[in-house]
Amino acid sequence: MATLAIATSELTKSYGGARAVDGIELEVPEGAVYGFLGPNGAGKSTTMKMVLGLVRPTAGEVEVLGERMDRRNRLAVLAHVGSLIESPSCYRHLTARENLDIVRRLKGLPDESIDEALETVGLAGTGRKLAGQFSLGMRQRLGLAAALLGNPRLVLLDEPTNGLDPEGIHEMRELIRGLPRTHGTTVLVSSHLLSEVEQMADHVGIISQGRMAWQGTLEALRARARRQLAFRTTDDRRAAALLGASDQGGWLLAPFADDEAVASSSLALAREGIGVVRIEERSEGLEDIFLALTEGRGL
Amino acid sequence: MVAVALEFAKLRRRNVWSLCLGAAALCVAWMASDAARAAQGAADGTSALLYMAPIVNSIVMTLFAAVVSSRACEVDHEAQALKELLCLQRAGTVFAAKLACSLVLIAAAVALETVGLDALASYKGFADRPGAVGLAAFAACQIGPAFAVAALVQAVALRWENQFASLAVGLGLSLTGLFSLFFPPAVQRLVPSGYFGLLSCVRMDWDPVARTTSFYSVPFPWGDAALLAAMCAALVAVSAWWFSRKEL
Repeated sequence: MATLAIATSELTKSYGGARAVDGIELEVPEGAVYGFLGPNGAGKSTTMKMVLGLVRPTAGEVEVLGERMDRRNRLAVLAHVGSLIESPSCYRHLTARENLDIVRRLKGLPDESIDEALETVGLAGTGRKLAGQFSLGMRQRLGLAAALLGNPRLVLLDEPTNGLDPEGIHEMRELIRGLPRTHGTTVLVSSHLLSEVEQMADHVGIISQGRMAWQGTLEALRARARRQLAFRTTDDRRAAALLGASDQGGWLLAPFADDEAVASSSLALAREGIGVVRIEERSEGLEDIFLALTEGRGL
Repeated sequence: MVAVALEFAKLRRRNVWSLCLGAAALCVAWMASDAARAAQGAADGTSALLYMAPIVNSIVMTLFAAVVSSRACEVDHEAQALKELLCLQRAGTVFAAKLACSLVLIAAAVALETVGLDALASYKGFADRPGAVGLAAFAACQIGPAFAVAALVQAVALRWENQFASLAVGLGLSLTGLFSLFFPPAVQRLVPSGYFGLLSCVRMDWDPVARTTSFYSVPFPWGDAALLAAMCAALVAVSAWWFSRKEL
């Protein structure tokens, strides 16, 4: 089993009587881009804040980079972690360099680390321009630069593409996807957009109403997609009875079968004088799986 | 020290030093308007200024302390930076660094005011100019209450993003501090800004028949100084604990 960069056990947060996060067992493998997916208000940010120790869990434990986090070792563990939670931290009256210098001095890094981080996010040429004059995309990149300062082993990014234009989203996605390769960084990135996670993550955790609905590799999630055969025939009513299929929108949907079984089915229909007009193989998209999981329908 | 230096780095271009200069200038100008009525070379001219200073400071320095401590917290709220900072620093360190930053600014403003007061006394040729020790004691007695105000305002400013609350507390302390000067010491002791008056060593007698005032000195009120120190310690401890409990 791969080493885990983040492992939580029964992580729970209650506000009043309501459980915002309910017994989450997050497992983020080292070197992965882990997409933390869920609808707005599902508990993604609260979970990430608990991982960082910014919110106190009601119950449960957090292990980061192999260390069980508590009040005493929290800062020592987080010295190897970068984060961008909810919105980018950005002093608008300071330049990009001055902003990063604050984080650099807190992390005890050399001056050159600022140049490296600015170069990585494409803000090297901003000079004396104040962050208040930056576009939202530039501020988001500045936030990411702060998170990446000193090449941390783990980065937590909460909806990093929020408010970015399509080009900015593309750049951010490419940057995040490349982090394990270029910097050896593990990334936990949250999003409410499946398409976004699909394009940058190799592991996925789906959270719904505070509970972890599913987690594993993206491939494993795809493999869980339900496959079916769709038939159109000259007599759907009789064919449905013969195949044990259901009629949905003019198509008969039957469980997926191998080539031999499909051939037998079509011969059986022919013997009954039913002509087969079309046979299609259908599989659920990730969106269907995501909706099934987040709406509690299961797979 | 690094944490305090960082607080000043964050306050770059936020005009805190101009505010510092402005607060001191306002205090001196206020006292100068009073000194203008005093005769050149008056025997009790400086005593009159030292008597007036706590009244002026209970308004101006209280507001200044509230503004700088609020501004030191506002920069982080505005930048949404506390989530990032608290992953790199302990909440207690952030709190202490901000308070130390406010203290430096308060001390600078009071030092400027003290220098201005002495310059004013020198210009008017007042005979009762205090020495360096007397001026230092005066400055310390102005810094103490302003620090207590800063600690209280900072607790509110860090807890809530909207700085209206912290500035309202500052304004309230300024007004109650001023009004408390007209109440018995027991009432003054309840308000941090009331200590501007309590720690003053200059008292005044008003002769209604002769319609004259006379100033005299009293021993330094160590009891009130100790009370203020205890109040500061309690305020800092409770405020820091309150901030450390904050969830982001």
